Amino acid sequence: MLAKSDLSRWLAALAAEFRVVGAVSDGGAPPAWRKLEPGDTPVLDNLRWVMPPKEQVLPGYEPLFTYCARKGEEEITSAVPAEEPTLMFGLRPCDARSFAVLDATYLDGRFSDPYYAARRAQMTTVAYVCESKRWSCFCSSVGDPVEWVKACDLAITDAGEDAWIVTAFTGKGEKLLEAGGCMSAATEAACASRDAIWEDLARANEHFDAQAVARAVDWEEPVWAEIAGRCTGCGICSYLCPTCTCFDIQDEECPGGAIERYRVRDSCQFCDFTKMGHGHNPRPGKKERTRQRLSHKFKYLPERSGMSGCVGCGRCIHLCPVNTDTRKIIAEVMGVHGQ
Amino acid sequence: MDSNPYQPHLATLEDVITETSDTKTFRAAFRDTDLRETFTYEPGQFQEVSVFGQGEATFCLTSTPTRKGYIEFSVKKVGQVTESLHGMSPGDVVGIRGPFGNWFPYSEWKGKKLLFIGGGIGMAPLRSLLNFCLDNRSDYGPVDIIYGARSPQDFCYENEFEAWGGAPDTRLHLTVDRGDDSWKGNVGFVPAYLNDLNPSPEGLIAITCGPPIMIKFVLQNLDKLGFAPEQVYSTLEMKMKCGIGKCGRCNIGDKFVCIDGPVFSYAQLKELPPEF
Amino acid sequence: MSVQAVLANQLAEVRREARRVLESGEVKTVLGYRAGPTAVRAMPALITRPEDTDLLVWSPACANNLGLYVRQAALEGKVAVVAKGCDARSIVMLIQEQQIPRESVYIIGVACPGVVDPDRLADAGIREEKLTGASWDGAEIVLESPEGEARPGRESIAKMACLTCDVHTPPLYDILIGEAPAIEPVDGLSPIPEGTEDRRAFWAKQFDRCVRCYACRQVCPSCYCTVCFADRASPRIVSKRIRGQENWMYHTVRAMHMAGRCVECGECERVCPVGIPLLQMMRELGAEVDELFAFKPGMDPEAEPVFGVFKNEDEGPEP
Repeated sequence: MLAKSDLSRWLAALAAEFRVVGAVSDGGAPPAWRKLEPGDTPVLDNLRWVMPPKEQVLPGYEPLFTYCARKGEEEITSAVPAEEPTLMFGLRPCDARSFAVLDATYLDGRFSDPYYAARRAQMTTVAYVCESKRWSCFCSSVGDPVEWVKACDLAITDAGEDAWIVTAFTGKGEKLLEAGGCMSAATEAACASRDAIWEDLARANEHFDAQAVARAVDWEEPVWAEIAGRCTGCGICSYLCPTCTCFDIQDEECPGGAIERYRVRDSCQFCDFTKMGHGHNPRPGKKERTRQRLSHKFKYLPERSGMSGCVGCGRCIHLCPVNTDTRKIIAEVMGVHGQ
Repeated sequence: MDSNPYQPHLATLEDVITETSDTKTFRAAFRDTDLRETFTYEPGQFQEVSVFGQGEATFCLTSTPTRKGYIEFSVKKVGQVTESLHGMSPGDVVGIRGPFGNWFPYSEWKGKKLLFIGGGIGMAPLRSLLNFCLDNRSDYGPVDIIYGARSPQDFCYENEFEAWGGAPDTRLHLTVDRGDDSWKGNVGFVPAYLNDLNPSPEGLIAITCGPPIMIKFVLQNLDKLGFAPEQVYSTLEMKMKCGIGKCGRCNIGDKFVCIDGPVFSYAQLKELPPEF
Repeated sequence: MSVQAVLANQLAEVRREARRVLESGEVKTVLGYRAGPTAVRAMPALITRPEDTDLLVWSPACANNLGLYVRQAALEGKVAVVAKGCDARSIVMLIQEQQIPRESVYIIGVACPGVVDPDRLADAGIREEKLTGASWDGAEIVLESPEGEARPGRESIAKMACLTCDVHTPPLYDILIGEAPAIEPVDGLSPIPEGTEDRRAFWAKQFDRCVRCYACRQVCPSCYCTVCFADRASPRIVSKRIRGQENWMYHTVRAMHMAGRCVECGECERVCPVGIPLLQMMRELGAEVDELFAFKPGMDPEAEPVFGVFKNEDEGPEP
C-alpha cells in the first residue's frame, strides 16, 4: 500500500533507476506522456481523456537517418535511438493493452522495427486501474481489461483512505515495490477495494467478440457509405487512436546540405494516402477509406494477429468532429450479419 | 537480413540504358564489395531505390539472381523520384533497400511449360523470372513469351530478344497495338494475340504482368482457354513506403502487397477485395 | 409553454419544411442534424428521402457547420440547409466566392442563441452521458437530466464562437424558424497575450502540441481547395515534419489564407484535439481586415470577396 501523499517520494526513487514517463497536463491541454520532472503530478484518474502513449514508442516525427551527399564521401548516419530503461507510469488498461497490439506489427514478421524496438525494449509498465468508465469507454466490450492490467509489471488501484494498493505481477514489478521504502503492507480493506474496482472494470453491457466481429465485417456494409457522408476526412480518429500507427517517410534537406530521412504519423483517412505516382488511387473516396480503417481495426488485424485491433479507449468517439460512434458501427455490423 | 531494414545500402549506377521515350533500365552495384557478391534475391521480389533528397520508389528487381555482382531495375518516368532517376548517370549514387516481398514459386514449376505474358514495362518483373529460368533451362519445359507494346518504339529489353528467341525450345511472340512501316510482326492487343496463339493449359504455368486493363483481359481469356486460377500468376503494384509491412499503406484487404505479395496467383487474387 | 415545448415546435417546423421541399422535388438533398451519441452531440445528416426528415433534430447539440457539405451536395442538385447564423455565413461566403450560385441552396434558417461545446461541459464538471436533453430559455442553455433542469451558464458551456457571435439570426435565409433573443457578444475571451515576445512564446507552446491531424482544415467550409498547400509534394511548400517549428508554417499560412474569408464559426477550435485556440487567431485577423477594409465575409451575398477583387480606386497604405 502507498499513501497518496507518498506518491512523489516513490516516483523520485523510481526516477533514480528509470526514465519515468507519465501523463501530465501542461496548461489545460489534454495530458500528454512525457518524462516526469520533480514536482510533476501524473494523471491517475479517468476523469478526462489523455493523449495516447504510442508517442513514446512511435513518435509523430522521428528521424531515420541522415545522408551526407558530398561527392565521393557519401555516407549514411543512423538515427536509431539508444535504449533507455523507461517506466510508463499510470497506463490505463486500454493504453497498457495498446502496446501488445503495436508489438504485433512492429516486432513481428521477418522485419523488426529497430526504432520501435529500441524504445520498447526495457520498458516497464505500471498500470493505473480506472475506478469508473467515462461515457465513451468500452474497453470491457472488446476484451478483458483486468487481463490487460495483469500483463503489466505493476498496477496501482484506489484503496480508499487516501491510499493506493499496489499489486506486482512480475519480478520486475516486485522490485519496484522496494524503491524508496515507501510501501506498507496491504490491509484487507484495501484488497477488497481493489477487487471491487477490478470486478467493476471487467463488467460490460455489450460484448464484441473480436473473431465474431471480424467474420461479420463485410465489404458491402451500408454503414461505410453512411459514415462517409458526414466524415470530414481529418486524421483525428487515427492520430489519437493508441493502436493506429501508419506513417509516411520523407526526405528533406537540412541546413548545411545534409539530407534527413524521417518518418511522420500519417492516416489512411487522408485522400492521397494510397495515391500512386501515375495518378491511380485505389481508395479514391471517403467510403473506401472509412471501410479500410474500420476493416483493418476489426477484421484484418484480428485475422492476422489473433487479437482485437481496438482497445475500447473511446478517443475516436469522444473526439470525432461529427460524432461518429465506433460502438454503433460494430453493433450495426453485428446486427446486419448476426453472430 | 538487414539489421536496420529502413537504412539503404549505397550503390553506384554502372549503366543506364534508354529503353523507350519514358523508360530507362539502371544497373547498379553495391559500394560494399562483399555485399556485391553476397547479395541475393529471388525473381519477383522488389526493392526500394532511394534518390537521396527526393525520396524512395518501389521497383521490382528485373535482373536475375543467377548473374551476380549487380542488380537492375527499370524505371518509367511518372513522378518526382522517377524523374530524378532519369536525370542520373553512371557514377551517381543511389540507395537500395531490399530485397522485399515474396517471389515466384519457381521450385513448384520444375518440368512445367511456361508462358510469359507481358505488356510494356510489365515485362520488368517477368524478365527476372525469364532469365532465371533460361539460366536453369533444363529445369523447365517449353517456354513461350508473349510481349506487347504500344508501338515498335515502346519495347524494352530489345537487346535481349535474340537471346530469348534463340534459347532452346523458347519462342518469342511480339505484338504491337499499332504498327508502322517497318514493323513486320503481329499487330493487336496482347489479350487478342493470346487468343490467336491458343495455348493449351495442360502442364502449363502462365505468368502475366502489364497495364491493369491488359491483365484484366488476359486473366479473362486464360480462364476461357481453360486455365485453372492456380496455374496463373501475376504481380501487383501499390503505393509503398516502408516495404516491410509496417507503415500500413499497401494492403488490399488483409494482405500487404509488400510482405504477402507482390506475387499472387490468380486464385489468390480472386480472394482479394476489389481495391487495386 | 415550457422551453422544451417551444423547441419541439421549432423542430416540427424544421422537419415539416424539410419534408415539403423534398417531396415537392424542389431540392435533392436536405442538410441538417440528427441525434448523436449523447444529448449534447448531434451528427450532420444528409437526407434524400422525405420519410428520413423525421430523423432531424434541432437543439444546442447542433454544433457542426453544415456549410462544409454544401459545395459537394450542390453538385447533385439543389440543397436545403438547416442553417444557424454561422452555417448561413459560410453559405454566403461560398456564394461570394462563386463556389455555388444562390439558386443552388434553400436556406431553412434557424435562430440560434448558441450551442454546447461538450468539452467545456466536462470542464464545468457536468457528465454529458447523464443528460437527457438540451434546449434554450432565451439566451440561456438549459440542460435536462433525470434530476431536473440545470442552467450552468452560457459562458461556461457554450462553444467559444457562440459567445462572440453576432449572427444569432442568420444573415441570409429563405425561411426563418424561431426568434433570436438579443445577446451581447462577450468581450475579453482571447487568451492571446499582448506584446510580440509574449505572443511568440504563446504560439510556440500551442504549435508544439499540434499533431497535424488537419481537423481544423477539414471541418472548415472555407478550406475547399482541391489540393491544399500543405499536401503539395512538388513543390513542397511546408515541411511534413510534425514539430513545433514546422507546424508554425502550416498554421500561419492557413491563417493568411483565411484572412477576410473566415466566418468565425469556431469549428476549428472546437474540433482541435489538443485545444489550440485557433478561433481567436482567426478573429484577430478578421478584426484587422474589418478595420482596414470594412469587410466581414459571409454577410452580404452581393458583396465581392475583399482579396478576390482589385479596383483602381483601392487605396494604398499610408505613406
